[in-house]
Amino acid sequence: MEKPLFDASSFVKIDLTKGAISSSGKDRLVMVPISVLQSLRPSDTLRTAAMDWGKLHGRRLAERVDQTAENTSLEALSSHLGGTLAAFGLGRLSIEIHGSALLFKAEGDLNSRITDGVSVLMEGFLAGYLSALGSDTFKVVRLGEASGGWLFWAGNPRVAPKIRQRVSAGRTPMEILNTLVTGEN
Amino acid sequence: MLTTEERKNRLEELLVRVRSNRSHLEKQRSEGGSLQELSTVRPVPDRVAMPAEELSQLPSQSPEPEELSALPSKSPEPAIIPQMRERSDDEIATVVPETSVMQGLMQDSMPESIEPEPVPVEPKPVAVEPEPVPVEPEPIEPAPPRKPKLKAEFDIPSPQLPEEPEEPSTAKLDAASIPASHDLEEYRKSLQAPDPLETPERKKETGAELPPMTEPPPIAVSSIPPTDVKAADAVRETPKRDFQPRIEASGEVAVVRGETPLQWTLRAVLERAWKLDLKE
Repeated sequence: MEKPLFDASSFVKIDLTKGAISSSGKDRLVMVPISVLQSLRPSDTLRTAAMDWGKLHGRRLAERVDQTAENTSLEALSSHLGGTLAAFGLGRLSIEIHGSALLFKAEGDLNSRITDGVSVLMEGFLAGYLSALGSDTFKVVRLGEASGGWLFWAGNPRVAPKIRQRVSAGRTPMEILNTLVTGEN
Repeated sequence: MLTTEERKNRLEELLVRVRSNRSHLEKQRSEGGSLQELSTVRPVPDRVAMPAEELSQLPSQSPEPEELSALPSKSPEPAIIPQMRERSDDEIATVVPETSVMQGLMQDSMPESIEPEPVPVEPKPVAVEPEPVPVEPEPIEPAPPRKPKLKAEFDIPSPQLPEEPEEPSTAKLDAASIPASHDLEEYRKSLQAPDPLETPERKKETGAELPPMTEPPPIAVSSIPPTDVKAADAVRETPKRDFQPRIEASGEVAVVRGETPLQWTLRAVLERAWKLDLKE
């Protein structure tokens, strides 16, 4: 039987002698209440740290699959990324494709009380994860709330500031998505 | 029945007679030889030679049977058996079997071998009547009445059955969650009705009918220090299911609009997403 892409059995390890928790024995974790996470203020430092965190787990998927191969489907991304975020308690993640746009929909208790700090954390983690899959660097922007969850757009870092502007201008996620076209780049 | 005093007197009288007989015997023996000489005589193995005259005198010296019966069961000292002495060849000796002679002699010296007259002894009926022991039962002090406080502590209150059966769980539903414009029956039907958006065609199209994920095995808790008992026990006592994150949906892929991206590879999805730009 083929080993699943995301193995929850060895995902989190608790070392009581060292008083440490780690995921897959590499990145150190700390269990903190959600309230501590929600108290985070958005900053570039937080975003960078979240991107590094996401890259770590994106590389694990890249080690398992050859994303350039023709037989690697989108399902590999959904199962591994979704399982990773669920194990961290960051919610239930699903992938939505709008035309050519790649969207992530996050649902769960944390995302129902999402703050700007948590939003930056999610954006940085997803961007770092996708960037670890290939040579392209990705940026992720929260579009807004949609049917009980939060939609995150993932794409070119050059386009990300524009989208952020429209979100700040009060555009709905669908309005923003409708203005996306395939560019020359 | 003889009284005790009479029996005692008679016993003494018998003792006197026995002693006189013995002294008489000793006197006769002293005439024939010393006791020392007589004691050295070796009897014939099977037959004992005894003078006829002595033999004839033996019965007369034995005590009367009725007197013997009155003797105590044990004589104070054994009677001296008449000894034999060597006789010259001219003396006539009567040869008697040793056993009969000895038995006769033994009758003189061993009165205990003589069966005493059976004395009819009627056992007195012993009326054993137990003395009435006055047993007066000790007055038992009545136990002190239980304190009401203790009684209240140990009495388990009987469960009180509800007078009316519990309402079904549906009655606990939040009334606010039920739309006011629908009655209960319609509301139940709406709950059971499938999601209109989740049509089989849509599931097939969007790929929502993905194979169910395998149940994730429990997360291994490694490196538990064997010496740290408290920490190890704290982990072991925790039910395993607490360490089993249930991933109900690790990820879904939904296509809102567009072509058939499920046939796209991961690479294709990332490339197309990265090439997108906003219209001015």
